[in-house]
Amino acid sequence: MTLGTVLALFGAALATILAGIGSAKGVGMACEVGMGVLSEDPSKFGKMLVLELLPGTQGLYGFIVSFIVLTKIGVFGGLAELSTWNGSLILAACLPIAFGGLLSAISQGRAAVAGISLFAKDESAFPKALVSVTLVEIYALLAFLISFLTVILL
Amino acid sequence: MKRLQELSVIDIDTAASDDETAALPEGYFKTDTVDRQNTYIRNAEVAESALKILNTLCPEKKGLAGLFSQKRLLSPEEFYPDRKRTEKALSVAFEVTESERKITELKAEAARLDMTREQMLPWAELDVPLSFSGTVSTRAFIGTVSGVYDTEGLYAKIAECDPELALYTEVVNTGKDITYIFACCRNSDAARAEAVLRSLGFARPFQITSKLPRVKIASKEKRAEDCLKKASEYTEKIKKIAENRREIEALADYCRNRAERYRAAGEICETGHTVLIKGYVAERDLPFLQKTLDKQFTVVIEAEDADENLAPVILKNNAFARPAETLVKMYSLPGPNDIDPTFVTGFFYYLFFGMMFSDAGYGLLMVIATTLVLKKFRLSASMRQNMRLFRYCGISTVLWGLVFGSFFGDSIAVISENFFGHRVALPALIDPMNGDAVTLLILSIALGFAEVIAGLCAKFVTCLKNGDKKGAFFDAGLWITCLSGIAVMAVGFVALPVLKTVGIAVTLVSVAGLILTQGRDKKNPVARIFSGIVSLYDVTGYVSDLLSFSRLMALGLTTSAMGAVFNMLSSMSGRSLGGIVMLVIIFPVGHAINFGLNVLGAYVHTLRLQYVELFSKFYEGGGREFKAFSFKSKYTDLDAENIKEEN
Repeated sequence: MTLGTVLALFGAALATILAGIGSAKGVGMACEVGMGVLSEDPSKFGKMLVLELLPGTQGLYGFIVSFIVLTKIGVFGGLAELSTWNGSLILAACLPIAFGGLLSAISQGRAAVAGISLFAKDESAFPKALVSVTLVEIYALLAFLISFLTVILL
Repeated sequence: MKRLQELSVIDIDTAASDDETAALPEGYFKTDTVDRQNTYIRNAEVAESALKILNTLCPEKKGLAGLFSQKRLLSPEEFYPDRKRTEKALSVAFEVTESERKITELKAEAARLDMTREQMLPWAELDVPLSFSGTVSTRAFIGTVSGVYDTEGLYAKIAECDPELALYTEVVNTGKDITYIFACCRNSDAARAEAVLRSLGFARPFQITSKLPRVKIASKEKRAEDCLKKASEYTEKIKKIAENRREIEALADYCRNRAERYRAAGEICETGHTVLIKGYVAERDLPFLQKTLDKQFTVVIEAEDADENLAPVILKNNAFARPAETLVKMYSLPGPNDIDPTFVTGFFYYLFFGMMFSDAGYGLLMVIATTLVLKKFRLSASMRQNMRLFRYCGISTVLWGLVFGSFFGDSIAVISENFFGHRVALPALIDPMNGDAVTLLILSIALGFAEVIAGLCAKFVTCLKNGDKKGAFFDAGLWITCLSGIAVMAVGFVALPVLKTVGIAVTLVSVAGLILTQGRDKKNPVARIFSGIVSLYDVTGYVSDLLSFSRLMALGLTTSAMGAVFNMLSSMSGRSLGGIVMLVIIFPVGHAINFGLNVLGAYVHTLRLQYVELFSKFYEGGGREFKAFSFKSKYTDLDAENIKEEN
C-alpha cells in the first residue's frame, strides 16, 4: 500500500468522523430538549421528530463522500495504488464536508433547540421554526457539493 | 323557537356563524347562552377526563388502525342520545372520575401509613410502648442518641459524663449515626440522667403511642395493605366500566357539540318569533343550503358578495392541486392581496419531492401504502388530503427513480451480479453515481430557476390583480427578463454562440430598465438612479436561491448512495446459504432505515424550497381560515344521508 492510498483513506475517515460528530452532537442536543417537551405533550412527537432530525444530514453527506472515496480507491476489491500526490488531492477534497459538516451540524443543532422551544410554546409556529432551522443547511450543502464534485471528478 | 333551535342542529355544518353582530338591528336581541354552554362543557370535560383515566388504566388495543384516528359512525339516535341515556353515561363517567379520585386518596393514605411504619420499625424489638415513662419508683427514657454505640460503649460514655449515675441502658437498635436506646433509673436520679442523656444528643421519638411498637407496626402494615387492596378494587371497577367506553365517548362528543351549538346560538340575534343568522357561505354551497333549509323551514336567504378584506378564506382547487392546500395552510392562508398559490406550490412540491426521494421502489411503496390507507380507513378530510399528497409525491418519486435507474438503490444490478452471475442494470437517463453528477447539479439548478421564474410570474399576476401595473412590469417583469437573459447567455456559453449575444442583449436591456425604474418613488433623479443601481444587489438573493436548489441533487444522492451501501452489505457474501440469509435480513432493514431517513428529508427540504424560495417572491399570507359551524366531536360522527360530504 502506498502513502497516497493511506492519505486518501485518511480523508475518507475524516469526512465520516467529523461530519458524524457534528450531526451526532446536533441531533443529540435537539433530542435532549425534544424529550422534555414530549414529557409534557406526547402528541407533538411527529413534528418534533422532523425538527430533531434536521441536523442529521451532515453526517450523511460526510458518509457519501467517504463512500465514494472508498469505491474510488477500491477498498471493496483490489486496492488501488495511489501516488502521494493523488492521495493528498483526495484528502484535500474531503476537508470541506469534514469541517463544514462538523460546525454547521452543531450550529444547526442549536437552531433546532431554539426551534423546538418555539414550537413547544406555539404549535402553529412549526413552519417558521422548520424553515429557520433549514437556513443553516445551505452551508453544509455547499461544503458537500465541493467535496462531492471534487472527489467524483478527480 | 324550538323548531328554530333545531335548525342549527340539522344544518350545523353548513351554516357559517361569524361574529358579525356588532350592531343589532331594531327589535332584535341576543340570548345569553353562556351558562348552558358551560354546563355542557363541564359535562364534556368530565367525560373526557373519564376517558383519559380509562385509557391509562386499560388502554385500547388499536394496532395499525390507531395511527389513523377514525371516528365511529353513529345513527342519529345514538348521536343525539335522549335524556335517560346521557344521564346514564354521565353517571358512569362520574363513577370513573370518582373511583380515580378514591384510588389516588387510598394510595396516598397507604404511602403515609408506610412512612409512619418505617419510623416505628427500629423500635420493633422494644418490649414496652413508646409512651412508657417508668414505674412508680423509676423513670424511663426512650429515644435516640446521636452516634452509634453498643451497650458497653454506651455505659462507658455515660460513666465518662457522670461516673456516679446509676442508669440502666439497653440498646434497642442502631441506625445511621444514631442509636435507639431504652434507659431507666431511679426517680431521684432522673434530673441527672436527663442531663447526661441530653449531652449525648438524646431525642424522643416523633410518634409516641401507648401500644407496643411491634403491634403498632403490624396494624399499620395491615391498614396500608387494606388501602392498596381497596385501590385495586376500584381499579377493577374502572376496568369493568371500560366496556362502556363507547357510551362515554358518545357523551363527550354530544356535550361538545351541544356546547358549540349554544355558543353559536349566543351569536345570532332573534325577535320573539324569528331569528337572524348572519354568516359566510361559500358560493358553491349556497344552493345546497337553500334546498336543505327549504325542506323543513320557512327561510329567507339573502346572499351578497363578501367584503374581500373581512371574509374568511376557502381554497378552491382541482383534484391535482387540492392535496397541496395543507402545505399552504401550514404556512398561512392567502391574505386579501394574494393569489392562491396552491397550484404552483403543488406542482413543484410533487416534482421536487420525487427528485429528492428519487427511487422507483420507495415511490411504489408510497403509492401502494397511501392507496391502501385511503381505501381501508375512513379518514378525516385533512388526513385524506395528506394521503393524497403523499400519493402524488410517490408517483413523482417512481418517475424520477426511473430517470435515475434506481429501484431500491442499485439492487437489481447488485443482486443479479452476486446471485445470478450476470449483471442486469436498469437503464438510467441520468446516473449520478457514475459520473453524471454534474448533469444532475445543472438539472437541479435549472429546475430551481424554473421555480424562481414561476414565483416571479405569480408576483406579476398578483401585482396586476391589485392594480399595480408598474410593480407588475418593472419589479416582476424586468427581473424575469433579466434572469432569463442570464440563463440564455449561460446556455450560449455552453452550446449555441448565437444565444450568447441574444442573452447578453436581453440582460443589458433589463438591467438598464431596472436601474431606471427601481427608484421610481424617489423625486430626486440622482437618488432615483442610485437606488436603481443598488437594487441590482438583489441578484445575490437570486443566486443564493438557485444554489439552494442544489439540495435536490444532494438529497437525491443521499438516497441512492445509502441504498447502494445497504445493497452492497446485503449481497456481500454472495451466492451461498449465508449470503441469502444476509440478503433477507439486511436488505429490508437497511432499506427501511434509508426510506425513513430520506422521506423525512425530502418532505422537509421540499417544504423549505416552497416557503423560502417560492413564497418569498410573491406571497404574503395572513388570511383567516373559514371555520364552518360544525361538530366538535373527537370520537364519533353522525351517519346521516343529508349531510354534505366534503370533497
